[in-house]
Amino acid sequence: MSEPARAREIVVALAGQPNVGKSTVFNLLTGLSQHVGNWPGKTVERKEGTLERDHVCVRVVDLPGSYALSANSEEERVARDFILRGQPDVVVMIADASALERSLYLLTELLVLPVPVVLGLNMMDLAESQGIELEPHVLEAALRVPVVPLVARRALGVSELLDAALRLARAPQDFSPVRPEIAEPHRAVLARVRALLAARVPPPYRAEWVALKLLEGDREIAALARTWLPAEAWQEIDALLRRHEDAVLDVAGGRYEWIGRMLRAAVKRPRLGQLTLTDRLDRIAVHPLWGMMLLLAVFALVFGATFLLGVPLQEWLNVAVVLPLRDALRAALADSPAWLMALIADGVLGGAGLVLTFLPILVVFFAALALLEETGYLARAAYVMDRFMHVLGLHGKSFLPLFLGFGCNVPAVMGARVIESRSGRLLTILLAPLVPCSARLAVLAFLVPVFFHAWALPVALAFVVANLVVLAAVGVVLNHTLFRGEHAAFIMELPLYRLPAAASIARFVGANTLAFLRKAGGLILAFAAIVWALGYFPGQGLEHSFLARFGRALAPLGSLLGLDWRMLVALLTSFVAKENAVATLGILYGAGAGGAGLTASLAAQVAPASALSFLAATMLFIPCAATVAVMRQETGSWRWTLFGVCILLVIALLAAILVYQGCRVLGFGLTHA
Amino acid sequence: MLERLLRLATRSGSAEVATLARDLEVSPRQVALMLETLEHRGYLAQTGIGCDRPCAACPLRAACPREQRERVWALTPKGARLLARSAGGRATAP
Repeated sequence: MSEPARAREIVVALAGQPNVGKSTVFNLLTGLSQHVGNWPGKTVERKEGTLERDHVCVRVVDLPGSYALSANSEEERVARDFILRGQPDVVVMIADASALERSLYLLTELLVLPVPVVLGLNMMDLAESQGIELEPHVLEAALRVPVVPLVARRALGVSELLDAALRLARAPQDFSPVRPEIAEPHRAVLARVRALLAARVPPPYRAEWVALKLLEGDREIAALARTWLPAEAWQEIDALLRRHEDAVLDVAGGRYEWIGRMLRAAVKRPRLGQLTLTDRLDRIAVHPLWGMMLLLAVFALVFGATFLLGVPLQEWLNVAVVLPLRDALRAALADSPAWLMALIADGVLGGAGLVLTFLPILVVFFAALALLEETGYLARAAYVMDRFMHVLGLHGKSFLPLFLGFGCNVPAVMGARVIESRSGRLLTILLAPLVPCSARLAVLAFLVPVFFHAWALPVALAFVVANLVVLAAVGVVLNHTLFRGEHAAFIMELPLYRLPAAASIARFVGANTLAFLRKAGGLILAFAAIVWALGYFPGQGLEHSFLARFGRALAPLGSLLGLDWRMLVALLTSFVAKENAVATLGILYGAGAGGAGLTASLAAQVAPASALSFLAATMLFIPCAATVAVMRQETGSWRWTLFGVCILLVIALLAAILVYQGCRVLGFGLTHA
Repeated sequence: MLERLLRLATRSGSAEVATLARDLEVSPRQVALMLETLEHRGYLAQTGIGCDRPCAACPLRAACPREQRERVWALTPKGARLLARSAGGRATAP
């Protein structure tokens, strides 16, 4: 007792984490008799109040909210200094019953201080609403600390809490809690430090507590201890602490062991491991086998939905909007110069206008991607993919950048920044362009039905799967040759599943739609005009154009691939933006096709084997210009960028040759409709 | 218990909190708390998965569906050293 008046006054220190209702309890206890100031020399607010109970004056000191007592913050320092130096008669610790683990950690620190503690379990109603059934009397028996359930916001239990605190303050000798112990491996080290401190620790400190804090690496206590000890004793302690820097894990580990034991005893429901909805779903979603099957099913569903919903809408837009508009423009421009009519009808509308019809395909696809993220599934997918990614020399962290590649390869390449190791980052960057982006998927969705009708969906899915197989194969090869990838494990706290918010999905779809429209109205339009001009001039028809001359120079390669010069040019223009492949086809095949449009023209002029070859090359072809620029930026090296581009070029050409020559050998699809 | 958690979390590739909680017979909330302690002590570091910056500061935020609701930790060199030491038998005598 530090003050003469203490015979008639009991000092209660109110401790607890922030946001556990400590201030509510303080207000209920002290009412209007509060005094607010600052702790001496600190900027932390000090609140005190008094009340009278059974003719005894009770002074309540509201300690700053803190998660521990380890001098990590001003609040923690103030709280522990008051308990040590202010010597309250009792500490009342307010805990959040709905999140008891964190509160109990603070209790483990309080229990090793020389002061009796009462535990107030606040928010019992919230815990109950969350299905947590706490048994305060069982917890009390396990802790051997008085435990009082509270609902402070309804003033329930506060009077009982005060009674328990006053009882303990009057009979502190009855307080003998079950304290956490340091885990076994470092008990001997703790004992040695304590022995070296021995009787040299001045009050109010205790050797046991100081020794623990030293093992925890508490610099403030270390500075104090150095002043208390002779040089040789401190040097020995210092050497011990340096040799056992991991002892902190056994100090904190012992506390967590204790917390686990207490909670197992007192938390009746949900039983540890009891299944919540998230648990139930995760039993499948993160299971090594079922999780992978689910992921494949989700992928199939996303692509299936994109094709089944998006493609008919795209066809409708083409037939109902673009083609009639083109006819109307031709009619309206009948008196204009021939080149102007051709530019607008064939170049602008037949090229860039056709690309605009991809919009429904992209909307459905982006909505599906956003839906997966919104529900919380993408994080699970990354976790499940970790084992598989390991085979490629990557890990689950590479999965999400690669997954984003389905939308656009640019964020996929940029997302590789998150990979710590340079080899893992490079590998992710090199593999990202092999993920079929939405632009390539739209080209696929547009062209496959032209040639494969009822088989369109399986053929398109086969192309997507083939892309991913090539990605895996390239990953395995690079991992075992150039990169020798390392596997950095991660630990993930998965978010709860939730219902997707329509606004978030709309925002994502809107932003991507806008980006696509900008691209269609800018880059794609400009290149469509250039391709049209090169195909129109010098003016004796397409077959004698500049473009035809250039395309025919590639004829030897074209014959291997089964592609005529127009398809080769379309493939090359896809370097600017993948959608340009269709814009170019629209100009080179669609011009003068009348109402039938590009689809009929392609079906009539291109054999299915050539179409397969073209699609194989397009899906695997060198990344678009934007992706190449980002690859250069992220690798910081033209060498690696060109290496990535060359790999893809070789793979694309080999795949197309293989497909076409395979069709020739099998005699499949060599004649067009 | 913390060292055991670290070993469990890295024994066979990556791990997630709920599974670790079942293995250690504690609540997932306690595992998350223990991971925070390991992070605070420098044995683990929080890392992104798909992103390396907060969404608000990301130039791709409009074109990206990610919201980064999950927390992800990776072993630090200090954590790796601890596991290597403990695999070779950690000296705990004073």
